[in-house]
Amino acid sequence: MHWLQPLGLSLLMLTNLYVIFAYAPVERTMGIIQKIFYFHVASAWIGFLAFFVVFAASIAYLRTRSAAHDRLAVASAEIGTLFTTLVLVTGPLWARPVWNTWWTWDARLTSTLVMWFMYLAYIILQHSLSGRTRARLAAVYGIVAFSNVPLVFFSIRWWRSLHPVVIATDGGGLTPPMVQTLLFSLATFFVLYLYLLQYRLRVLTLAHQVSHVLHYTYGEEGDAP
Amino acid sequence: MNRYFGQIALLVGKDLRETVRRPASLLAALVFAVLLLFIFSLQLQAMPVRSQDWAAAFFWTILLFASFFTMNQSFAKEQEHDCHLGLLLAIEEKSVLFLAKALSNFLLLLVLTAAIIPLSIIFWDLRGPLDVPLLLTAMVLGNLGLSCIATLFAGITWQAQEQPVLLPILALPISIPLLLALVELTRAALGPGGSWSPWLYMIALFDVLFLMLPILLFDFILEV
Amino acid sequence: MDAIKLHAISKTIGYRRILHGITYTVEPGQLVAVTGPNGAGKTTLLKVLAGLMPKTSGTITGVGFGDVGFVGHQPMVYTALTVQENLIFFAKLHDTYDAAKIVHVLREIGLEAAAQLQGSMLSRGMLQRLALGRLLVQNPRLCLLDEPFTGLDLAGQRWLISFIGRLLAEHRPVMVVSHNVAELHPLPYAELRLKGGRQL
Repeated sequence: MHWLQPLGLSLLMLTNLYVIFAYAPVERTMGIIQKIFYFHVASAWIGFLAFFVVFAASIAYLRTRSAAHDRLAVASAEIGTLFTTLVLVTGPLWARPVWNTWWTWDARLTSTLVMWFMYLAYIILQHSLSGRTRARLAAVYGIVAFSNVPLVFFSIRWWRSLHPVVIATDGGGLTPPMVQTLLFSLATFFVLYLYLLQYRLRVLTLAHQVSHVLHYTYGEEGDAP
Repeated sequence: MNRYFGQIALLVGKDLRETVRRPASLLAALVFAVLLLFIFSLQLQAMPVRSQDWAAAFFWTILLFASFFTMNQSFAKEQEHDCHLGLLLAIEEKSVLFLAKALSNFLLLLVLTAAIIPLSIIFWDLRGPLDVPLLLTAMVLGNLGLSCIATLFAGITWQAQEQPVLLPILALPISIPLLLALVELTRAALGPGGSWSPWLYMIALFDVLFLMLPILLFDFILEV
Repeated sequence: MDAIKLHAISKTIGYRRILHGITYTVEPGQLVAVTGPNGAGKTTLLKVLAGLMPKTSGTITGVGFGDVGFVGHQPMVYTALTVQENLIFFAKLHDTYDAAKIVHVLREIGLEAAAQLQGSMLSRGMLQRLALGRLLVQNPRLCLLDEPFTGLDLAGQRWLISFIGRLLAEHRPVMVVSHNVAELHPLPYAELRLKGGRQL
């Protein structure tokens, strides 16, 4: 019944589109452009959640050395980077028509960019090491990177308050239907995250089992992936 | 506890002796930093901006790059003749190795800083009222933070394949809060500036975090 | 001094089981030759005993951290430091420094005349002697030598045999990884034979 999950997810995503475009009212000053807010903010929150999962899984890995925790960290970092990329793409798409500029050095957008760089580095680190050394050192970086997030956020906020930008990327005043739509969108993106996560985990687990079998069949030397 | 700090002092002494006898890498770092300084100065002298507006930013950018490219070797150089194994036979607390290397790197950075400051004052024609105590505070706390980060990531990357480029990729995004704070603090020291005290707290917080995290995590990093 | 007991030492790296439950007792002043084909787990066993690699399971009694001296394929000494500085550095690192002892060790390894030479100026044989000096200053309760005869000429081999003899005379047990037990002649030895990580 492996088609049930994607089907359910597609229905949920379509419902989300319907809620965003039909249920939520059109914002007064920004117009239809403001709809991107529901994708932008939901991606940002889920991306942040994914990086928190990397942090927790990294601590768990160093404590237990279980390959499952390592795979959870790997998968969540990749998906978190994907969602953060969406934030960085939808940000300029929103900014261009509304403030007539592609990029603003707004505190949240800049912090997201720094986080994106950190987890890109995490993924590169994953690919330049192998075996248990990879899992161990990546876990250390996963912990360090997330511990650094509050510092990144506050330093950029203070820095922005010294060098203010004229515009602030708020969603504007949110009416109750807008808040409900945002929550629905958030839930949808969370389900999407869970779906992608279990899919990636399944692939990683299969790869792990394949190298296990190879090892016992052919006596291949090498560490667990 | 005495043994702990004794081992740190011993390792730092050993590193300094090695640097004095084989100064090639320190000299290369110095030349690299001076070259960066020259290239920035050359391009900026033609632009209609006041040097004290950008001096702090370029000063720390130069130090950041020079430190990452020189500290790559902190742990890798111990692999000659497997010396790291000899150290691990005697050192039970792995954080000794982190603190020793961070301290050696801190001293190297102070040497680099001492060389670049006079040159940047000359090249960039900085003549505003210098706040010397504030400048010194920025140099000491800033270099401490930089050496902690670079040492932590040198410990992570020395076994990796793309080692030389991996260290800056890992360390640059992490050092952004420190960099922003240092630039603002140094800018305030170079001329009449705004409030700098939140930045001082930020740097202190950063230094404490990146002294504590590696002490907690270095056992995992150096595991065989 | 008590005997050193290894009980059911196992080591797994990734999917590879490198050591399968090694149980062995090393008596004080005993020479143990660790033998077996390549990949039998000899070096891994030594590194586990030295504490350089964590063991997956099993217990070692009779030695604690810092009690085990190890001379591997590489000498583990600094080329920018002199012979004497290397010995002093490692003695202080092990908290066993004593100026008179350094002089004694220099004589023991026959490098008195080279004491002020930097490591980079030493020949392979001299580096090997310096590595053994590093072992001595540590004042170890168990000495591990990984293929120490490799690359030594006849005179060097004879010197090494007498050196090991002196370690044994001080009641220090010595474990030597060797491909050719004939090189241990005339010292009496016990043999720990490994194959595929198992004890034979």
